[in-house]
Amino acid sequence: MKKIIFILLAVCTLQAQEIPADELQVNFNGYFDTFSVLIAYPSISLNKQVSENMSITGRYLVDVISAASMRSDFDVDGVTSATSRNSGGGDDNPDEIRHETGLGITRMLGSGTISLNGLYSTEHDYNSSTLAGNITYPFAKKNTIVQLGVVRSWDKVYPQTRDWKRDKNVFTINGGMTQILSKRMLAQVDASYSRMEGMLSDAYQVVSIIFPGDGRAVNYEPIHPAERIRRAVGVRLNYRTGANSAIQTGYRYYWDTWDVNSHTIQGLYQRHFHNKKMTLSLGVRYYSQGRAYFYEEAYTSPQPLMAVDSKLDSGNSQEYQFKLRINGEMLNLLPIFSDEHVDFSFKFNFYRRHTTTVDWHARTRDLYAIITSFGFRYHF
Amino acid sequence: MKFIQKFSLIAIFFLLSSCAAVQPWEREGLSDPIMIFDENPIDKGILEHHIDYREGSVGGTGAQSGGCGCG
Repeated sequence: MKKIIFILLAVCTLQAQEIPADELQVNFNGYFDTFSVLIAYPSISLNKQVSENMSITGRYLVDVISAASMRSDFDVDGVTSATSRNSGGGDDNPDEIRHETGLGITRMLGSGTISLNGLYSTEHDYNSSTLAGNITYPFAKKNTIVQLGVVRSWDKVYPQTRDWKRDKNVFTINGGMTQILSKRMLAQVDASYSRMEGMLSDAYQVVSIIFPGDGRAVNYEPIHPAERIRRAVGVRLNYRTGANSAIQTGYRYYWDTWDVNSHTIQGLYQRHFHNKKMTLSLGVRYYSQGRAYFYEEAYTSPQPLMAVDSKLDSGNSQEYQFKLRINGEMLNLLPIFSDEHVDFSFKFNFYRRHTTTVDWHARTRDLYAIITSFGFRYHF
Repeated sequence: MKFIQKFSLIAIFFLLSSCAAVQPWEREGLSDPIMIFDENPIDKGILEHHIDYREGSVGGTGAQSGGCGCG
C-alpha cells in the first residue's frame, strides 16, 4: 500500500448540465519523487452518447509501481529497524500492478443531470469498490447550478505481512453551487463531509520505539482512531481577463476530528493562442496543515494511539503546474496527427512538501515530486 | 464555526446576486473551456489523488473521490 493509487470518479463539473460528449481520452502519466517512488499509470476512458438524453462512460487504468517504492533509501540509525520485513515496513516484492475499472451512466433529468458511477480497484493487498451518485440542476435561468453528490466505498485491506483482512468504509456527501456573477466572472462554492471508519492506518508503516532505559528498539503497528470525520469548504472564482485568457483563484479550508486542519490557496492562468488551437495553463498552489493530535515525532513508550504517517504531521507544500493543449489541426507537418477532432496535451507538475519532522521512512523533511502526463482527447 | 458562517454568507450572496441574471446570449465568453471549472475531469482526478496521498486533507474542491489505500 505504500504507493500512490488514485481513484477518480466522474468528477462533477458543476457547470455542465449536459450529458458528456462522445470522447475517447488516453493518457500516459508518470509520478516520480525523491522518496524513490516511481509510478507509470496509463489510462483510457470513453464517453458515448447512447440516446438523446443518456450517455455511458467506461474507464480503465493500470498502475505500475517500481520496486523502489517499496524500499526507500534512508540513513542507518535506530529507526531503520522499522523497515524490517518481519516487523512490518515495506515489502520486497518486485513491481506491483493495480487495476482499476469504472462504469458510469449520465442521464438528463429535466434541465439537469443525474449520474451514477461504479468503480472497482484491485491489487495484491487491497481492493476497493465504490458507488457514486450525483445530481446537478440549474436555477435562475441557468445562472445558478446546484450540485449534490454521494460517494460510498467499501475497501478490503490484507497486507502481505499480516494474516488478517480488515475493512475500511468511507461515506462522503458533497454539495456545491456555481454562480454566474457577470459576463466575465463565475464563482463556485463547495462543501464536503466525509466519514471514514475501519482500518485507517497503513499496515506497512511501523512505529519504532527506542526505550530510554536500555536503548532497546521495539516495533509496533500504528494505531489510529477507528473513525475520522472530515469536512471541507471551498470557494473558487474564474474571471475572464480578455478574449483569450482567464484567471482562476481558489481557497479551501479543511478540518477533521483528528485535529488536522488546513488552508489551501491556488491560482490558475489560462490563455489561448493561434485562434484557440493552442492553450497554455500555468498554475500554482500553496497548502499548509496542522498536526493530528496523536502524532508525535518520537514515542518513548507505547501509547493508545500512535502514528508515523507524514500526512498527519504539520507542514506545507507548493505545487507548480504547466499544461499545454494543442489541437491536431496545428500539427499539419505530421499528417497522422492532423485532425481537428483531436486535442493533444502535455502536463508537467512540480511538487514540494515540507513536514515539521522527518518522514518515518525516508528520514527527510522534504519531498520533491514530478508528475508528468501526455495524452490526447478524440472527439468523435 | 466562523468559517461556516462566512461561507454561508458567500453562498447567500451568490444566490441573491442571481437576481441580476446574465442572459443566455450574453454568455459567449463564459462558455469557453478556459472558463469551465475542472474542464477535464480526468486531469482533475489525477492531480487530486496524488495530493490526497501526500497531504492530510480532502474535499471542498468540487471533486469526488472514492476509497483507496491512500487515505
